[in-house]
Amino acid sequence: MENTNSAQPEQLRELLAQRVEVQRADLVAGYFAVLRESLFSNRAEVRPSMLKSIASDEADALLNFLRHADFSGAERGERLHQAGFNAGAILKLGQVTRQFLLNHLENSQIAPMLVLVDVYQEAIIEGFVQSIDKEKLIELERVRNALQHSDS
Amino acid sequence: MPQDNIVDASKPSAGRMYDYFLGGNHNFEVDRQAADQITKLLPFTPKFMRLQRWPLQDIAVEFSEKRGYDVIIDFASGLPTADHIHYKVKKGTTVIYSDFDPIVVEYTRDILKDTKDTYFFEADARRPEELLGRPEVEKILHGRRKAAFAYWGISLFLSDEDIAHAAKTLYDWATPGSCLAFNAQGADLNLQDPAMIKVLNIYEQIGNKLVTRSLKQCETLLQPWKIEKEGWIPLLEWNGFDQSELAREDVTAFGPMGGGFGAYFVK
Repeated sequence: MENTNSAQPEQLRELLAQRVEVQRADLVAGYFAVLRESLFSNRAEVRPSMLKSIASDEADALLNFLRHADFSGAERGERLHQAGFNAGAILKLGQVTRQFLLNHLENSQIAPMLVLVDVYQEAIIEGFVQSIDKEKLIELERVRNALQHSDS
Repeated sequence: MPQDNIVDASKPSAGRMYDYFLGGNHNFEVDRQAADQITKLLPFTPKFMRLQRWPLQDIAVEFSEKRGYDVIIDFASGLPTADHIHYKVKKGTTVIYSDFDPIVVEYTRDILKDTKDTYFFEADARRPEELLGRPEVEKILHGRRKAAFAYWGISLFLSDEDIAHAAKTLYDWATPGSCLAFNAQGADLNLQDPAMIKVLNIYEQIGNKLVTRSLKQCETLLQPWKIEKEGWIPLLEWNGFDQSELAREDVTAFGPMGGGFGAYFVK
């Protein structure tokens, strides 16, 4: 197992990306399990038939984050909120990613990788929360317009 | 479904409670309190609501892609959010939604904006002739009467007479080859279950007397529409679940298959 203590961030990213690729099925299964578990807590827009592809997309998103500097975790978070997922599901997805690291990396690799993945998770949560705020404002405006029209 | 509570935010409305059960935002505190009371009595209720909501897009695909209908008319639509019919139809399919809640109709203008070939009208599902006879609808359809109808998620709120009238009206209006997707809500509900009795009372208190009926009774009311050979599909199965999704008390109150069924009928 390669020593990652002195590895550059790019090397860390690539190492983790390779792990994700090799163990992708395991990661996707973990994502799917928590999505299934939280299915009935999300908004109804999240349908059971979507879960497999969302679990797979989630693994792709992590890979994109690791390999493409311009990938926006915040956009991913925003998209998950717009799809109808609740905060609980997002946090559980993050736990799966962390557990994946613990299961598939050597002890010396875990600390720097967790730092890396935390950056990703924070960006996702930030995008998710921003989307909630944005939606609230849109909803308020819709309600105001609807009430105004129905009163007139 | 009586209309008195629809635009009154001081009383619970069954429509807004439904939205809350589905995790939506189009509801008020008074709706959430009533819905929470129901969930406390019957914890399966939010699942029951979701199981009945999820098939909508399957129906859209079935109508539009598999059966090739270019006109889909939906009754008691609620908000056309991302899980609704128009998201899953082939390009060029005309989707006409309707709801009797004027707030929903207004709200929808902003959601649909200029979505092509998708329309939303204020209309009561009990009287489809009002929707079908609107000059705007006639203009949109331009004489097309081979249509696919979705009459979904509403039967609990309608009397036998309402359902029979709606079915006959749609049958008479549509040309042969038309299709109707119908959701029999609560066909196996245990009306002796103490928690179920309390829930029925809550709905009655807010002005919505729930009407349950057997699948056979539904078929009789929907005549002359003919049920397809696949028959009634339990919504649990429709959504890819099995009975393990239900706790023992859920089975006691909602029946072994969760209380909801769907079927396609043809003319």
